Amino acid sequence: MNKNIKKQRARRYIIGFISVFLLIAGIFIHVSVGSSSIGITDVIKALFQPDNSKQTTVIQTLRLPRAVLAALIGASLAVAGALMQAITRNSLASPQVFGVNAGASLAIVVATILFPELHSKTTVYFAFLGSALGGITVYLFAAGGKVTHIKLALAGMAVHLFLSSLTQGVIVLNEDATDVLYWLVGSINGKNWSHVLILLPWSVFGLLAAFIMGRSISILVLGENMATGLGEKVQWIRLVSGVIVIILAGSSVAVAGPIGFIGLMVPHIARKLVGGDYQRILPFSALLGGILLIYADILSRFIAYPFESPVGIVTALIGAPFFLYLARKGRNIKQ
Amino acid sequence: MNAKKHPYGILSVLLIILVMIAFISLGIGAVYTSPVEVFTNLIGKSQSNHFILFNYRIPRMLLAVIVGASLAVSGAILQGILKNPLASPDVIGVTKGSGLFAVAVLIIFPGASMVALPFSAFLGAAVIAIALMLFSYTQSTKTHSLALIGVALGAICQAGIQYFMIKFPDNVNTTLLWLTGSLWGRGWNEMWFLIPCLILIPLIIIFISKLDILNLGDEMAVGLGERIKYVRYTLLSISVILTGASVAVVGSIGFIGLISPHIGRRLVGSRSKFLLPVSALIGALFLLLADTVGRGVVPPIEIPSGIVTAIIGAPYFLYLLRREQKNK
Amino acid sequence: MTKLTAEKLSISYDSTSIINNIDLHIPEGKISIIIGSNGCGKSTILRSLARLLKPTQGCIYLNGKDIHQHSSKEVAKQLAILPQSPEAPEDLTVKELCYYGRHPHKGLFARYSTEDHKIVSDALQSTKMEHLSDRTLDALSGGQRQRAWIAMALAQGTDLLLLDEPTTYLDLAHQIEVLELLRNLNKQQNRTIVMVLHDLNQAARYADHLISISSGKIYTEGSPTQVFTEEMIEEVFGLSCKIIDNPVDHSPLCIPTGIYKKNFSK
Repeated sequence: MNKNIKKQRARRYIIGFISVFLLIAGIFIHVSVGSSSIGITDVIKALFQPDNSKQTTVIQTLRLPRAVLAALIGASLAVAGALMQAITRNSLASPQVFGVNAGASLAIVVATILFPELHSKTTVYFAFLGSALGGITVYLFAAGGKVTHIKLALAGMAVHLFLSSLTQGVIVLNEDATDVLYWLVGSINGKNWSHVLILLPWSVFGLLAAFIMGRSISILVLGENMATGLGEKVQWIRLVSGVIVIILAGSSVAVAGPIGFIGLMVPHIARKLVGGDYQRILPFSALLGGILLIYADILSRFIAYPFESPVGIVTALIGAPFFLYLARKGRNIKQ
Repeated sequence: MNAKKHPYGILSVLLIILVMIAFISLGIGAVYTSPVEVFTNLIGKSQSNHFILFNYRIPRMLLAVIVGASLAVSGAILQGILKNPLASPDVIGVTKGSGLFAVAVLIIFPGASMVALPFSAFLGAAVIAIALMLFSYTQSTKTHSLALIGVALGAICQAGIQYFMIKFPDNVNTTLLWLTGSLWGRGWNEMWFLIPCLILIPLIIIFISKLDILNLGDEMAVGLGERIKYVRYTLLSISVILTGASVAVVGSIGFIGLISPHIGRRLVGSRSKFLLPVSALIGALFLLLADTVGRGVVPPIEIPSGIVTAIIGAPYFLYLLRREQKNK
Repeated sequence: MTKLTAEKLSISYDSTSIINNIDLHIPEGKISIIIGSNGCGKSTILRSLARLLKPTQGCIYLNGKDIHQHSSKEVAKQLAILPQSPEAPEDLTVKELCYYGRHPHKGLFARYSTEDHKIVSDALQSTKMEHLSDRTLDALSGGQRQRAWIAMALAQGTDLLLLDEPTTYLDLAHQIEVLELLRNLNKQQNRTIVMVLHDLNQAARYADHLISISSGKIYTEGSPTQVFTEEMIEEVFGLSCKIIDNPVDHSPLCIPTGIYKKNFSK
C-alpha cells in the first residue's frame, strides 16, 4: 500500500515539475515568436538586463504583457471551469456552456453602445453583471431535480443562443459596433500592461480564494447530504464558489472577450493527472490552463500566417473535438 | 387540459388566425395598404397596389409561412428523436452548419451569391447531419450522444463563422444581417428553394406514427418491430432538409424550432399526429408575426425578423425554464 | 404455437463474458421464469431471446429460423416484449397505448380496421382495464400502469410474451395483481410466458418451468419442485435456507436461515 502512495506522490511531483517547466518555456517561446522572431538569448537579455534597444522595447511593451495575460486568463478560466464542474457535479460545466461568457459579452456590447466613453476598468463591472445573469439563468435550470449532461449542455446552448442573438441584434442595429465583433471571438492581440493591471487584482484574488476553498469543494463533491453530514455549509460554499466563478470568468471576458473551451477541457485533464482531490486539482488546473492558453496563443500566430488569428478560434478548434470525445465516452462522463 | 381533447378544434382556430394575420400582413409595410384594398387587389377588381402586393408582399408572406412551418416541424421532430424539450435545429448545430457554409460562400464568392447561397446553406446542414450520424454510429445513435455531439459541432461552426467575419471585415454587415435572419428582399425566386419542404410532406405524414413509437423507448420500439436506427436517421434527414432549405431562404433565424413545438405540446399534447401540424401552424404564425412587426413598427425601417423572434422568444424561453423548474 | 430456443448462446460485452454457451428451450404454453442473483445475466438472456441483443456466439431460433434473419416486424408479430422500465409520454391514454400494440401489423398508412378495434378491446378486457381506457398513464397506480403495458403487449396478438422484471417497482398487492393476471392469460388464452423475476418465492409459486442462472450458465432448470432446492439456493444465491411446503398451494417456499458460510463470489 505504502509503495503505491509513494509512487503516486512521486508521479504528481514529476507532473508538477514538468508543468512548471512547460509554463516557463511557453512564456519564452511566446515572447520570442511573432512577426519578427527574437532569439532566446536576446529574450533572456531583455528580461534580465534591459537596455533601450528596439527589441527590448518590443518584448517589454508588447510581447511580455501578452504572455502574462495569456497565462493569467488561462489560469482563471480553467479554475472557473473546475469550480463549476465541482459545484454542479456535471463534467460538462464551464463558463461557456453555462452562458457566463455569453452573458458577459452581451453586457459589454450593450455597455459599449450605451456609454461609449467608458473606461475599460469600468466595463469589467458590466462584465460581472452579465456573467452573473448568464450563469444564474442556466444554474436555475441545472440546479433542481435530475440533471443529466444533455440537459445541461442543451440548456446552456439555448441560453447562449438567446444571449448571442441579442448581442448580434444589437450589433446589427448599431453600425458603430462592428469593431466589437473582433472582440467577441476572444483574443489577446494588441493587449498591453494596462490590461494586465486591470485583470491582475481580480485574477489573483479569485485564484487564491479558489485555492482556499479547495478542501470544502472536495467534500461537496461527495454529495450534498454527505457534505452536510460532515459539517460543511453547502449553500454557503455554493454561493462563494459562484461569486469566485463570476469574478474569474467575468474579468477574463472583460479584458479579452469570451475565450471558450479552456474551462471545459482543463479540469478533465487535471483530474486525470492528479486525482480527485480539489486541493490539488484547483492549483494544477490554474497551471495547466495557463500553459494551454499560452501555447494556443502561440499557435494562433501561425494558423493564418502571416496574419494573427484570435486565440478564441484556436481554443475552439482544439476544444470542440475534445468535447466530441467527451460526448462519445458516454456513461463514463460522471465524475 | 381540456384543450387537449379538441385537437381538431385547435387546428381550425389556428388556421383561421393564420389566414387573418396573413391578410393583415399583406397590408403592412413602407406603403400602407388597407385590408379593403388588399382584398380588391386579390380578386382582381383593382390594380392600385398590384405591383407591391404580387411582387413583394405575397411571396414574402408565403415564404414566412412555409419557412416558419418547416422550422417548427424540424424542431418537433428533433425534440421527438432526442427526447429533449430543448432540442432544436439551432441548438443541435444544424443551423450553425448551414450558416457556416453560407457565410463562406457569401464571403469568398460575393459574385455567385444569388444561386450558390441556398445550395451552400443546404450543404452545410447536410454536412452537420452526416457528421452527427458518423460520430454517433458506434454508440447506436443513443439520444444523449446525438445531442451533445450536435452542440460540439455547433461550437466548431460558430468558431468558423467568426473566423470568416474577422478575416473579411468588409462584409461583416451583410454577413451579420444574414446570420440574424431576415425576409428582406426575399421574393418569388426564393420559393424554389422551399420545394424540398413541400415534397417532404407525404414522407413526414408516414413517419409520424413511427415518431410516436420511438417515444416508447428504444427497446419497446424494437419490440414493436421498428428499425430504430433507420427511423432516426430518416427523421434526422427530414429535419435537416427542412432546416437547410429554411436557412437558405431566411438566414439562420432562431427560436422558431425551439418554441413552436413547446406551445404545440401545451395545446394538444405529445401525439405526433396532432403535434406536428399544430407546431407547423404555430411556427408559421410566429415567423409571419415577427416579419410583420419588424416591417410595421418603424416604417420604412425594417427590423430583421431574427431580432424580433429573439425578443419574443427569449422571455418565453425564460418562462419555460421557470416552469420546468417548478415541475421538478 | 411459436417455438423459441437458444443454442450455444454466448454474449460478451467489452471482452467480459456475460452469458456462456447456453442451450435453452422455452416450453410452449407454459410460464417459464428465470431467476438468479444480480448481474448473473438473466436480463441479458431475456433480451437476447427477444432479439434486443445480438449474440456474440450461437443463435436464437424463432420457429426454427435464426431470429436475426427475420425482419424486426415479423418477430414483433410472433413475440411481444415488455422491457424493464418502459417510457411513455405522460399524456397518453391507456387506449392509445394499446393501439400501439397493433403497430407491427400495420403498413405505412396506418388505418385501424374493425379487427384492430376488436383485438384492442379484447386486450383491455383481459387485463380488466376497460373502465380505465380513457385515463392517462400518469393518473394510474403502479399496478394499473403495468396492466396497461401488458394490455398493449396482448394487443400485439402474439403467442409469446416476454417480460423483464414486471413486478420490481410495484408494491406487494400490485405485484400479485400482475402475476395473477399473467397466470390467467396463460391458462385461459394459452399464451407462453417467459419472465425474469427478482422474488424467489413468487417465482417458485407462479412458474411451470423454472430456470436458475449462475455466472452466465444455466445452473439447473425444471419444475419448481425439482429446481427449488436448498442446494440450488446456496450455490446460486449464497444463502442458506430451509425449503418448506407453502401451506396455501403447496409450492416450495424458501425461508432464509443465514448467510452461506463459504466465500460467495460470482
